[in-house]
Amino acid sequence: MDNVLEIKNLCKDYGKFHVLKSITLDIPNGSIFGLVGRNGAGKTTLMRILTGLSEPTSGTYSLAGIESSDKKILSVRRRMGSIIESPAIYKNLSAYDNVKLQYINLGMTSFESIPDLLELVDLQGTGKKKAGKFSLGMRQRLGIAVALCGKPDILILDEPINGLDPQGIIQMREILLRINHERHTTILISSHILEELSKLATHYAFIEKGEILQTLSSSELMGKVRKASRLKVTSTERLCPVFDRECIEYKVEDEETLDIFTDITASKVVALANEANVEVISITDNNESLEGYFMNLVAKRDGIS
Amino acid sequence: MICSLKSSFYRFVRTGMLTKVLVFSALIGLAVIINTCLDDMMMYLIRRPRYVDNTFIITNVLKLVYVIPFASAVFCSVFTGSEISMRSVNNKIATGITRFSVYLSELAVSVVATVLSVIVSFAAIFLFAKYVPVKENVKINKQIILLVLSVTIICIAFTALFLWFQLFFRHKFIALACSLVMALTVVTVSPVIGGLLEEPYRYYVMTDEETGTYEWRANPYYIGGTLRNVLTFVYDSSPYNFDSVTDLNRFPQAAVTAGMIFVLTSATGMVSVKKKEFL
Repeated sequence: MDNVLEIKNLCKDYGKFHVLKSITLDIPNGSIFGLVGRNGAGKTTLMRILTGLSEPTSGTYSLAGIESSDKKILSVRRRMGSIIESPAIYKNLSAYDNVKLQYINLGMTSFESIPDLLELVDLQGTGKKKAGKFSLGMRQRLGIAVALCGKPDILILDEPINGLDPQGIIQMREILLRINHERHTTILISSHILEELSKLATHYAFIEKGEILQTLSSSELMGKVRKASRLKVTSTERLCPVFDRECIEYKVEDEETLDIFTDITASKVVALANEANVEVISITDNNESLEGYFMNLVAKRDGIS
Repeated sequence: MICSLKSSFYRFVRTGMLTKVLVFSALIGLAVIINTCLDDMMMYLIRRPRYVDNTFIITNVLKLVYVIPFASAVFCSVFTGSEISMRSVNNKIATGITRFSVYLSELAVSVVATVLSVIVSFAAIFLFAKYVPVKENVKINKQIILLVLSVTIICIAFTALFLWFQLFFRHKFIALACSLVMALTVVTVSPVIGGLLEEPYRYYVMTDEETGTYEWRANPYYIGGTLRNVLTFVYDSSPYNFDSVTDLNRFPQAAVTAGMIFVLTSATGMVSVKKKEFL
């Protein structure tokens, strides 16, 4: 089976408001699938439907080959772990008890693997400390541990790095990569922090106003993002007329900085700078970010509509 | 279903809720005893508690229906309300446990907590009555067993209603407020209905002071017809209209009505929870 999750024409309406408009999406097995979209784009609604927390107005999805309309979907859901919006944990219980409760929910009778699971998310030393006294990062990691109970085939994570400090973000990234590499767990993840998402995801879906704008793999994305070189010079003002003459595509950032989008060698740049009597201070790669790509995509869509 | 039940009872024990219910229920029993003793001391010239007998036990057990529903409202808020507000209920649903099972397991824990509460409170009352020095012949008889059973059913009916509030209101504190207001309304409405029902059909009034003429006039506050039947049923079914132990023969009706309320509320909850989208 190539896709662990297949979504077909999924729609969700709240009254007259169409939150999801015929979403079709395939999540490849073993991938880290980044769902990119602005607030209110429909990411959480889509994830809530996939986890059974909400019912679609129309359309279907299949999880591990089982259709959502099939009664077997309830048992297949045991192969799915999730965090939707915030980790659903009991603040008045320890990390161990929180995980044990999820084991019980899953019908598991052996609890020997709980310490290993807590170690995986770096919560092994928390003892009887109540989850309510955990830092936000610890709570997020506990949420991941709860989601990982029963070794799920797919993890659905809605904003798992929201509110984390830089160290927490790095820790979370390492945990997710480890889970994906060691357990081959497919991860469907959404995040506002696109730079962070770009360090994780192998595939992307861009969602805006309940519609999927584009889906592509990270290698396809790399081929599509605009390559740029950032030039630091003594004066952009004198350099621009020379670049215009040579039909070089560029964008001025400030008096000393500009981005060149045309594929051009460093020696040619230096030669043109000399011609304009401008000194080149530095030339660095400054490729378009995931955020920039997404914003361009949204701008194109809005331009069309 | 079994997983959901196990999970709910595990949480009931591990969060310390079971211990709190037991301790708090014993305290309720003691508070009720102290209240009765103080009432007696105010009432009798000798300014000491009356001799403790079976009537003392019955008086105290009757008072439990005034206290336990309020405690039950708080329990439902802390136990079930937290499950909803902390979104941990989502963990159950996302693992394929049906909403129906979630409802049943929450109901089961709440009912067990309420039953334990009644039993422990009653035990505190009975042990006090059994071992206090001024006791008379105290023993559990059929009347007391039926009374405790009735009180239990009445409290369980309240619990089912409070659980319904907790599951269907988004904020647990709003649900708790609604539960407390409802319990308070049920407690206070009985005397009001009693007063309305006692209004005479007609009254004798002097129409002419000089001649001293009296005549019968219809009482505009008298309630008749179907409304009277409904109010009479509500009054007779309410557990809050027993002024004395002599009224006890009406208590089973209150228990039967409470049982019906429990069944109806639970059935409604089980049906409506199937479509519920927890946030």
